[in-house]
Amino acid sequence: MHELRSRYTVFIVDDDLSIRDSLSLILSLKGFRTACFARAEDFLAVLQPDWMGCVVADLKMPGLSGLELQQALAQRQPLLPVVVITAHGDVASSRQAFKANAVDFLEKPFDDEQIVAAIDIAFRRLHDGEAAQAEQQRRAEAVAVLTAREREVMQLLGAGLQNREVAAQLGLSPRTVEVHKARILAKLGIRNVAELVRLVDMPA
Amino acid sequence: MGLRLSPAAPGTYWRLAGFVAAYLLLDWVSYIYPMAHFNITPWNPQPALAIAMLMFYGQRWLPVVVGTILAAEYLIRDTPAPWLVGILAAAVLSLCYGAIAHLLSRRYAVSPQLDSRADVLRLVGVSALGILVTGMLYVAALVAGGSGSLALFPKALLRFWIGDSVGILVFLPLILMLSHPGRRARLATLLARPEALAQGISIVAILLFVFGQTLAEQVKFFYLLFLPLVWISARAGLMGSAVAALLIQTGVIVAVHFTGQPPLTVFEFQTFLIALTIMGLFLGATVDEREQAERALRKSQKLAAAGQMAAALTHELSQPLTALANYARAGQLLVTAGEREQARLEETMQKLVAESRRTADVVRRLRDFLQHGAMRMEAADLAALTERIVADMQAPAAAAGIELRRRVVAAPPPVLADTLQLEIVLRNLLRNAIEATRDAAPGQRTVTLEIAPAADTIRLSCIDGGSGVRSDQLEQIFEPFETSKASGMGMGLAVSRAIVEAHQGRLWAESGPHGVFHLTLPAGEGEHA
Repeated sequence: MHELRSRYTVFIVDDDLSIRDSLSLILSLKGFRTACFARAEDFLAVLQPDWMGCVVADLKMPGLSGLELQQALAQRQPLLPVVVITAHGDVASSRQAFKANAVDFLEKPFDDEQIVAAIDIAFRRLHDGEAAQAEQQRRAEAVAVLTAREREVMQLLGAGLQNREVAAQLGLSPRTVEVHKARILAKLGIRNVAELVRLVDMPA
Repeated sequence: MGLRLSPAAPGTYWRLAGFVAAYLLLDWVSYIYPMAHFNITPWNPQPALAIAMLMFYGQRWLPVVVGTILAAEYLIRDTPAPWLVGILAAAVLSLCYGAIAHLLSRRYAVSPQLDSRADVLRLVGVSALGILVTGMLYVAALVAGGSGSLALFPKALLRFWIGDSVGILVFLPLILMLSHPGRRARLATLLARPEALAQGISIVAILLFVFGQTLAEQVKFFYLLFLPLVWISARAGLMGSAVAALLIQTGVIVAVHFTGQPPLTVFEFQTFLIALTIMGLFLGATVDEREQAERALRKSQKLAAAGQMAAALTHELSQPLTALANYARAGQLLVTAGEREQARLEETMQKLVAESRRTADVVRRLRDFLQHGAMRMEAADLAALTERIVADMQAPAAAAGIELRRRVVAAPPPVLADTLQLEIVLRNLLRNAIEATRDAAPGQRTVTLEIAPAADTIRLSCIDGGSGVRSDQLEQIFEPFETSKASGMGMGLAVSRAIVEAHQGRLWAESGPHGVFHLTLPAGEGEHA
């Protein structure tokens, strides 16, 4: 957990100076890296694609609200998790925040433990998301090194066809299909056809 | 009625003596144009007195009414009925008055202040029907006693009905309302207005005009009396219409006395007067009801202001409280870190103190508001108030490099307002304006507070040098918790608007190249406030 805290950043977006300052202080003492922004627009203006962390945003701010910031982030950096904080929570805005996949919706005044727990969950979610994305990336790169014929064979095997059926469809001998299959498994670093089926089913 | 007079209560006999004296006096004054054998007159206010007395003091005093009626019969009438018939008639009248009083205080209970049309409807209905029955029994008693012929029964009944109905409709609402302290106070305020004099003069003038005509023409012009009655009812409600009806009735009787009308014409006048009085009562009650509804609305607006204030303060409290908790936790962690975090610990503690001051500020404001929560309306001198506020705000304006000006287009008349609340609103508007102007170009760094009185409103405008409010945000900025400032939201425009609306005023923003907020307050005495 603490490894994640030092790897990611907490982006605090709140128009109240004291909230930004005190939150940043307590989080840094708990081992988080923080960055503060007074307005959602300021944050979006400097946000880089490689910034990884959790956004803690106030609901009501001059200019873009926390919910609007959440929508803008869903477009630009869908991986970035958002925790919404507010001094006047209402059911409608909390529902809207959760619908837009907020990690948590905290009403001020909140405990430091509550916000830390929410951020930890957010980091875990981000970490899992990143891992899934990396895995997908690796597979995509592996598929890219297959020959055209091998990709055809992979698609048909992945769809659940037997060697003989694949051979008939592609006009090859079952033996040749067997050779292609062995190469595909080696290149993708998988052991059997079951894994291959799962891979082909995976969304690109 | 609640109020019951017990024989043991102090002053009981004085009150009863007062009733007897007033009854005899009214009977004597109204003993005009008696119908032969029946002693029926076209104007009988004294039954109203008897009914009101029984309503207030209770049915146990019915014998007093019988005695008084008998006394009146033999003291005042020219040709009193024979003893037996007189006693029978007095008993019939007293019992009927008692029954009407009972119906009005129990079965169809009317509240003495007559604060709804339903009350007026019950009063008019029970009186009119009750008097009809009374008339039947009374005339029948006289006919049976041999005082009048049966052939005259319908005519006698009709005259009895008209004379007593008009007497009750004019007097009973007035007596009932005068028994109520709130209504008495209202009457005093109404009579103190210059308008009351003009209204009284208009009635007298029309009466003079009507009775200045030839006898035949008089009835034709009688309808003109509807005009002042409508005026008075619309402006002064039920209390006004009841007083006006009494004035018209008195005027008619005096005029009839001096012009020597034939009895039939007098009854025609009285019939007219019944219609006039009933219309006045219902119009007045309607006006009263509308005023009550307006008062209720104003009260709910005041509550809304308090609610908005509470919500805004909750919001403002939760901000420093969050920061306080964070700093305190940080302090704990820094303490365990020992020497090397000494400087940061001290800094954190300072911030903690600052946040608790901020919290205390909010609480102080809440206390001010609660102590002041019920609006205290007083005549406010807007010129002096704005001068003081603008002077107070000069320092923060100058610190931001902004010129703060006040422009008085014309001297404003005094307005009825809660000065403290108005000051909160104006300070809030000016603080917002200064914030908005903070980033303006050098030539435009001014904030102006303008005071412009108009015919029935006084407009205060706050014009800043900022970029103004976008036209699609004109209403949104008045939503609770909406803020365009980065720190400390002040009192919020939502609260300001609620306060201004509780003052019967309006607060709105105007879109344009610069920020403009207008606030209007009703000018004049503000008698409804």
